[in-house]
Amino acid sequence: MSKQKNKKLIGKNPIREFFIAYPAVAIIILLIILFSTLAPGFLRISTFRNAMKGNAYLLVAAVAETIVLLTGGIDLSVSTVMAFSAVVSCLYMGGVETVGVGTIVMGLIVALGAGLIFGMFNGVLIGYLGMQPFIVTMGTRLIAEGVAVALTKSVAVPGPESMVMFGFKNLLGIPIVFLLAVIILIIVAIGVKQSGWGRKLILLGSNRESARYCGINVRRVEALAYTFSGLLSGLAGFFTIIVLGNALPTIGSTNLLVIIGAVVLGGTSMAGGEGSIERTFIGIALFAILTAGLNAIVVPYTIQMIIEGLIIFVGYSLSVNVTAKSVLAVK
Amino acid sequence: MNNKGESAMKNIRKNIMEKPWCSIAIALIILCIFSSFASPGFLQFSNFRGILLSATTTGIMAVGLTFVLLTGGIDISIGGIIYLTAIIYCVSLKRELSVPVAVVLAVGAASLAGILNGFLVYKFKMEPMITTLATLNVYKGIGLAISGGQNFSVPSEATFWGKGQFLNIPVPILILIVIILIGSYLFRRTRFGTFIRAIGNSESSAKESHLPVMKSLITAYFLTGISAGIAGIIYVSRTGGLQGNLGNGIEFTVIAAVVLGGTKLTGGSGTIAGSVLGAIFLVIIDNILTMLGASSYVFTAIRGLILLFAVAADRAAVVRQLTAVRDEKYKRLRQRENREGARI
Repeated sequence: MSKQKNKKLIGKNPIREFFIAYPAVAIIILLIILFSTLAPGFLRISTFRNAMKGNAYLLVAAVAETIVLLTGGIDLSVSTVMAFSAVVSCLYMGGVETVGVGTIVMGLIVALGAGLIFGMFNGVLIGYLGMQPFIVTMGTRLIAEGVAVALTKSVAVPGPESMVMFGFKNLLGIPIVFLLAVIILIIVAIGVKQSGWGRKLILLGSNRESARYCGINVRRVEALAYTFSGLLSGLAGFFTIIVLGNALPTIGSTNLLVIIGAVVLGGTSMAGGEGSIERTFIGIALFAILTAGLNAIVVPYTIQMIIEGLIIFVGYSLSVNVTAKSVLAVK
Repeated sequence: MNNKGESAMKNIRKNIMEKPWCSIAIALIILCIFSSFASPGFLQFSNFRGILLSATTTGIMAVGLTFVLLTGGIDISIGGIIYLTAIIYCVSLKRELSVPVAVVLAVGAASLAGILNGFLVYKFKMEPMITTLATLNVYKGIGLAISGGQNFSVPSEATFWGKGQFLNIPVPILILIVIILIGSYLFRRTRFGTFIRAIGNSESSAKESHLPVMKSLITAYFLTGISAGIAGIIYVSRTGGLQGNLGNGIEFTVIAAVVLGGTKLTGGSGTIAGSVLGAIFLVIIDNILTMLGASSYVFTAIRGLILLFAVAADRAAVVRQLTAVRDEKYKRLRQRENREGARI
């Protein structure tokens, strides 16, 4: 496509412009059309309700990952820190018998604290000591997973009854867990857009050196990003107890792909500085609809894995090649 | 006289200490001394043989992965490739194909997978991390679709690659040695080795210098894929069977081994020997923990701690070097100022 033509199309057609900016939305619409023709039972409220509930904790974890990706780093420990805080929190609350609200609030604080400790650890090593994010978070990933597995001997810890029941509650037909996750996403999105720290974060991601020359305390901003990501991972761990009914120590190793995949499919660049928190919502929605649809047309798990991989590939190459090229053409 | 001795010492230090694999070698020696004190069984020949044998899988994959890390890329999909080749090997043996045919099929699939990785990374200009994360899912999914999630066993006549011996040396160790030699040759004596380091230092400069970037990148990913394939065959032959969880998380162990060996994740610098030493180091840690009677559940956590410690040590060395360079620069500046001041 020539430069001139591209420019014209973008200038004239807002719908096309929207789809070039958010290629994942186009994939979602295509998937919904495809699945509803293939499986008549797909277009039901219950499908979407289950998808919303089942992905609430992934949404929170993906928000945590987005913050780090915006700085140009990467956090491989998000999913295992999530599993670790779920395990610690469940062990603290103890057992299936009905526990009081006070214990649950303490459990939430324990989960947040567990996430915060790992996040601060990452933040200090990466931000202040200048170590490579990939390796550091790989190390903390192994530590979190190892400790979670060692604490539970690799067996799921059952969560309190009242929390599991809370997971089934709906408000206006929408699961409350999902609403809470969306509220968290909105708060973080506004925080990143409006606060000084959020803008510093994005500047740091797009050009570290110029951020430093602007007088930004690069180390502190970066350390805070990882700390915040750890805190949100702890929160995501608390959500897994509500959604799944138990704390599974091995959940961390299987979910990393979905989390990072959803963030980049939403259009957040791995190079940093480009993207936003709300884009992550689109990425998670894509994955949720894909899984729900494949389950509706009874595709075996192995084929689902292959399709997930292909979707990540196609979606990301669209967002890299189409979006980046059209932006360049406009410029 | 004293001065001369000092400078000789400096020369030795310069020659030995500046090799990237030096720190991991020293760490390995210290670990061995510690282990022999901690448990008397450690220094036995059979134990060393066992350690080397268990290190072959990670070691071979580490040699292959070093090439990709040198280009500044990363390959997460090796866990999928190792499962895919292992399952192809087992299934073709079950269909009563001869062992060489099964090996060719399995290694061929691994090479194809590697070439596909390289092609996708180059052609679509996507982050290697995301590309290989996606292909990890695809390869693992294909492997599981072939196996149907079942466990397979390798017939005893086909376990030569894992259990066989040649001149009293276990075959896997021989294969590891051959692969180290081939890897070092490619790394040091061929243009390919220079090209990938150039790409790792700066891909755009490599392109502007008209280096064959595409060919080199694809070759690097191909080497990683084929080494994962060989490791897969050795693994199933050694353990005699295939479980559904083979290869889960192995990419992190291999990356840890390569990084412990002094290869930089940003590309451009590293050694083959260091990666293999890193793999042996990780196995010795597991070995000593088992001997001390630690529960196998804590292995992962301790691996993570060691990785962090190694990176911290590396970072400290870099900071020290940078400070030394800066001090030297200031010293020269001050001298020049003094000289110029005197002239005025």
